[in-house]
Amino acid sequence: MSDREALKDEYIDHMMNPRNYGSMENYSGKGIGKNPNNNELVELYLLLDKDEMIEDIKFQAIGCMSTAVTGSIFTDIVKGESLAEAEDVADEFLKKLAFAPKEERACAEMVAKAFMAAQLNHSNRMKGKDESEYTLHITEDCVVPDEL
Amino acid sequence: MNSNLFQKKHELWLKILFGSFSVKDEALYDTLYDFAMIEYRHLVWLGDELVIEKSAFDYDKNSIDFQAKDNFELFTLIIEALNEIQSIYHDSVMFARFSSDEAYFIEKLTFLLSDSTNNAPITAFDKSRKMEGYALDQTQTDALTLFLFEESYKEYELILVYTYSNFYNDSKLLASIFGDLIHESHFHLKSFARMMSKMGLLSVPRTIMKQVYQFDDLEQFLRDGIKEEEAAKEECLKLAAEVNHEELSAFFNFINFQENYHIALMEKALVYLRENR
Repeated sequence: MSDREALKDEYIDHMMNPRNYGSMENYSGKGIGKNPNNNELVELYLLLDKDEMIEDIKFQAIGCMSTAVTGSIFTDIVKGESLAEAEDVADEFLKKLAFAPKEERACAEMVAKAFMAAQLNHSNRMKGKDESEYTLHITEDCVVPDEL
Repeated sequence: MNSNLFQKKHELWLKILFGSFSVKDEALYDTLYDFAMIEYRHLVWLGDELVIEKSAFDYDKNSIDFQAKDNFELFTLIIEALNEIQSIYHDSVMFARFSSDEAYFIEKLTFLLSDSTNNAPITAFDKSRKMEGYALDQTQTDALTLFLFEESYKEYELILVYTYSNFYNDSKLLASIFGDLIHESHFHLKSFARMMSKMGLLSVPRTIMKQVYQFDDLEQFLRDGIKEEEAAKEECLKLAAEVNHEELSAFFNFINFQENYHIALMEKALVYLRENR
């Protein structure tokens, strides 16, 4: 099996069985990555232990299959890692997609922004702020100007 | 009653529905599909009762355990789920109906289990991405794969959204329009999921977020829905061209034309809502 086929097989597996999909009641941080131009969004929940390791992570999305697959791959990679390591993964995610089609960049950015927003929400809650969630808007848009 | 029962019923419906899609034998598939559609009707009646009781409920679900290695393992899984749900029913005419239906389902499945000719391997999840009798190249296969995943999710979402809208809707006209759209989506979901099963790609769509169906503005929902139907039409046309296969292209053109009427129905609902503000 070539690398391309292997990648496709993994992608299809995430489409068939998305990892960590759903919501969480008792979370350390909840973030939303939102496309301001339509109803698409990613909600991401983080449960951190006392050493800020990601004990559990969940996400859910209103968006296309590509968003669900990106969320599945991202959460699968960072679950069990430290927050700092997860930040690096999020950065890498965005860098790798710099040359990807516009809609794929928007999907990845929604997932990364939801993760960043969950961290900010966690940080604000640790400072005593009564904040149920934090929202960040994406800058990419999967709708090309001609369609607007 | 509680909302947990609604969730269990939703999960049972999906288990039998997607279990039916996974079975190759057409007669066995038909039997299971009929059972699943009866379970869907149970779900609707249960939702109506919960609305009367003013109890909150939603479409959250756990993962659906329906992937079996062969028909007999699937029948056994379904029998177990049917037996399990009996313990949370209450005393009422509606629950007596649920129990009676499900007692028959168990009896029928037990009967099927007694004949080994009803058993066969299930290949609906093997990711082969090949359809018997169709020679599709890589581009055609990729286009079809992505389309089937996107659209099966969309059809499941539409069934749930229109069903939820009807729980809280007092208009006969809207109930009729949403009822038609639900029927259409059941047909589309069945068609797409059977193809996914043949390609080894069958899976239950992900959970629908509450914001999608617990909305305040039905007019906005319909306006967005019309845009989505128009996009779905474009996808069907694009796919029909990309797949470039006489039989499949004819099917996607047929689906595309059905979307026109969905738009007409939704526009009719919009006019009604504007006139009855």
